This record gives sequence, C-alpha cells and structure tokens, in this order.
Amino acid sequence: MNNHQEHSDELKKLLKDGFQSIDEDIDESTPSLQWFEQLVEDQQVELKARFKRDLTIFLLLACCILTVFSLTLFQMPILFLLLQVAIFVGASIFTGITYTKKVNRT
Amino acid sequence: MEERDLIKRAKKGNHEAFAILFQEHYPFLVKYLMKVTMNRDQAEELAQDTMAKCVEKIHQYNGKSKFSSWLISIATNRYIDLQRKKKREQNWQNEEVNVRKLKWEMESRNEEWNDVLAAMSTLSEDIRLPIILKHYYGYSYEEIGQLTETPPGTVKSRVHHGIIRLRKELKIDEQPSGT
Repeated sequence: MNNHQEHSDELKKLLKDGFQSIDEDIDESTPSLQWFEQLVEDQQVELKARFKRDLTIFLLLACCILTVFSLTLFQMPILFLLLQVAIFVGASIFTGITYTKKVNRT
Repeated sequence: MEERDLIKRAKKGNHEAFAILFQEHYPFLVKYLMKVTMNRDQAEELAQDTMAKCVEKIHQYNGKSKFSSWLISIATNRYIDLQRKKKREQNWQNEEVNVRKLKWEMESRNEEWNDVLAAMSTLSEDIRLPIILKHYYGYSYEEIGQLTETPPGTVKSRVHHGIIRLRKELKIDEQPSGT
C-alpha cells in the first residue's frame, strides 16, 4: 500500500514538474475582463435567438397538428380514427425498439 | 466578492459576474485542456466553448462540487464530443501534428520540451485523459468514470496500463532507487 502511494506521489511530482513550463506560459496570457464580458453577452444573445427560433417552430408545429386533427375529426372521422390507431401502433413500436436497444447496451 | 455571490449573480444573467468568474478560472481551464489536448489553439477553442456552455447551463450548477470541477466536467465532455466527431485515423495524424506544433512553439520560446511532455504525447487521448485526471488533479476512478462516461474498472485499467507505458518511456524503473 505504501509502495503504491509512493509511486503515485512520484508520478504526481513528475507530472507537475513536466507540465510546469506549459502552466507558466498560460498564466501570462489571460484575456481582459472586457473580452470575457463580450463572450458572455454574445452567448446570451445567441441563446435568446435560439429560444425564439425553437418556440416559433414549436408553435407552428402545434398549429399544424391541431389543424390536421380538427379537420379530420369534423370532416372525416374515419381518417381521424385511422390516424389515432396508426400513431398508437407507431409509438408502441418505437418505444419497444428503444427499450430493447437500451437493455442490450447494459 | 465571494465565488458563491458571483455564481448567484451569474444565474440572474449578470455579465460582469460571469466575466469575473471566467477570468478567475480561465488559466486553470486552459492549463487542463492544454495537458489533455497537447495543442494550445485547440485548448483555447475548447475553453471558449466550455464557457459558452457554462452560460447556457449555469442554472444546473448546484454548488455541491467546486465551480472549477464543474468547469472541468463540461470541458471533458466537450473534448470527448469533439474526439468522437473526428475519425480515428485522422485524429491520430492530427495528434502527431499537434504535438510537433507544441514542441516547436515551446522551443521557439526557449522553453524545455521535457521527457514528461514527450512521454505524455506518446499516449493516446483515452489513456492520457484519465492519467491526468487521476494523478495530476486527484480525481477518483469513480469520478473519472462519471466525467468520461466510462466504467470505473475500465478507467482503472487504462490508468494502470498508461502508467506502465509512462514509466517505461521515462525509464523510471531502470533508475537506481537512491537517486
């Protein structure tokens, strides 16, 4: 156990000494506070834009699905029922395949 | 201002708090990524990517671990994602080019390209990463397993074999024990 600890400490010291030259160089080249602020601001703007885009896509898709469903329900009830059955079967097959894959992986 | 207060303000979207946090942790983050990638450009690029991800995920930080450890876990995931995207063949070639570039950069600054750096550069990234996390940053096998999404037993085996190779490269076992 002691021997193992000794080896571990020896390796830690070797790595520390070996990486020292890399570490010293990086200490001298940290960007300014303004640079970091700009980075954060840019990222926040991008995140907001992404959120707006995703929300728009979600709302458009929801409207499309609702329109199709209400049209089929009131105009063609048989097609509505067929769609319900197809979606149920599709979802069951998808869940089954995903679950089998997960079990095989573990 | 304390780190906890800065994180609190950052969670509310304060730019300045984020900037102070990042400036404090930037050297630590780039140093870690330099050791892992052996490439300065890639390390700086990944550090920026990590900070961008941190802005997005700051609400998920629960304060249980150190902020620097949380940054390391994001950086490690970004690095692994990047490695997965590249093909293995190209990756190996790129790694050789990276090491040569780093060596040239260091020599041009009259800095020593030492035996440890040379030996570490011969290890593949999946072995170098756990060795650095275990023996330089002091993470446990379980923690490294979580960071790299690898079973702890595999991490232990990789570290073990990596150290044997490292000791061989550095000729540690051949040196007299008294020196």
